[in-house]
Amino acid sequence: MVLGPAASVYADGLWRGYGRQRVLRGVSLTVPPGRCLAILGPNGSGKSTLLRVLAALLHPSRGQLRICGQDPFADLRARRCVGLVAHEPMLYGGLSVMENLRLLGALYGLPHGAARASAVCDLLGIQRRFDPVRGLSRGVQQRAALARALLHRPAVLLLDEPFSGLDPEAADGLCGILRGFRNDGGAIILTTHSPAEALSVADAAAALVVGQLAPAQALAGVALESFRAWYLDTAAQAGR
Amino acid sequence: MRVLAALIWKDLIIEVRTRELLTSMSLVAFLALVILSLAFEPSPAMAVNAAPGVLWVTVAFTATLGLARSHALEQERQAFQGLLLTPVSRSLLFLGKFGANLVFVLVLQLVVVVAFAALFTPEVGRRALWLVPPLALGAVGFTAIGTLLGTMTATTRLREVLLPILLLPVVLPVIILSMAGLNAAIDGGAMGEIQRSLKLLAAVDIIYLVLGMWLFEYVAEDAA
Repeated sequence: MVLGPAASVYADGLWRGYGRQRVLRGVSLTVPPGRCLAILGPNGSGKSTLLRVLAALLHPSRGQLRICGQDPFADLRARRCVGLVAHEPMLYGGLSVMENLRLLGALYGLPHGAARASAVCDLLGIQRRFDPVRGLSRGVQQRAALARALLHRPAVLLLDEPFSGLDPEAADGLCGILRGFRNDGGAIILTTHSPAEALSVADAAAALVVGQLAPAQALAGVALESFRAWYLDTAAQAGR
Repeated sequence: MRVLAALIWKDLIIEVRTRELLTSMSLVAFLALVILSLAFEPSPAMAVNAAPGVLWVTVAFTATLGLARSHALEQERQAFQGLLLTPVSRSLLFLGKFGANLVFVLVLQLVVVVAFAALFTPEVGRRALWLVPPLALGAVGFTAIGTLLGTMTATTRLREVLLPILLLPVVLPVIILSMAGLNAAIDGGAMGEIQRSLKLLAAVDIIYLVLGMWLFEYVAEDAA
């Protein structure tokens, strides 16, 4: 198993704030290839900020970040290794899903961008791929966001509450896609409020409370009730 | 070049479909010119003298509105963050947005010159070719700083107010130099006089473009 700075995601002592407010307080984590880490935490605990730092959208004020062994702030090519699905689809509403994906294919330097965009839309079952994004339902926009994140074949997938707004069938489909990505050697970090969602796809879970990440717990063979109790206990201890 | 073309194409194709920016900018510009023509009721000679100022006042305020809207579109569905995730350098992202904004401002200038010729005096229309260099070079400097500040203010609550307050004082050298060039062109001044204004204007444009490319990295993170 690849650990340390050469892991898919290696973060050591990440700090980040907005103005005087400190949102992340020394977060450290390591995710090797083929593993999925779920980060649980209440609203305002810093989950979204952590994912934005890991996606290199925000500079950490302190700490070290390596994605596939590279510093994504020093070497822009490291950004090819990361796909991010956030609350918003990060697509242009006036363009269709295919046009958005073709544009991003050009920015990622994909040699056959249109073919890859079609393949990703097929994989995710996006039928209305030629309609403007602003006219699509929340569920289809969420799938389009996943298509954007998978377009360039990243080694690391970051997902911010990916199950919110999805019906049970779509959530099952997403679980299948994430398991496939992980089985192909991809590393996943997802944030969620729900222990049940974490158990459905993740190998390990950690609680993020007031900007601090508690040690991760392996999830193999763990029952939902005991996992829920662990999470509530960890969150309560960290919040004190 | 493929990346730059894709970035510019994105804005242009959205505008071709929605006609949101150019229609609203052109309409506001036309209304402003109508008000100015009714307020002054200028003679042809006075209209020719006032042309550089009237053209730039109309373009500056109307283009500022358009720039604010253009950058607000980037924030819808956090689309701009999707671009920031890619391995494209921030300088190239800046140039892509600058290129599309420049096309919008140039089209706006064309509309304003035609409307001015119709409402004030056709004399300006007859010298339209001479107006192209000072107006176009002015548009470059105006758009370079407008793109930088538009990105900076796009995530703020008061973006529509904040952008003109920040932008107009900074682009004043561009506007003054462009007006000097327009004055010389309209008066049929010596070529040397026109060239001097244009050279200075080009130098300011280069400074603003380089500043924009350099500072965009810092501005873009705040917009993320």
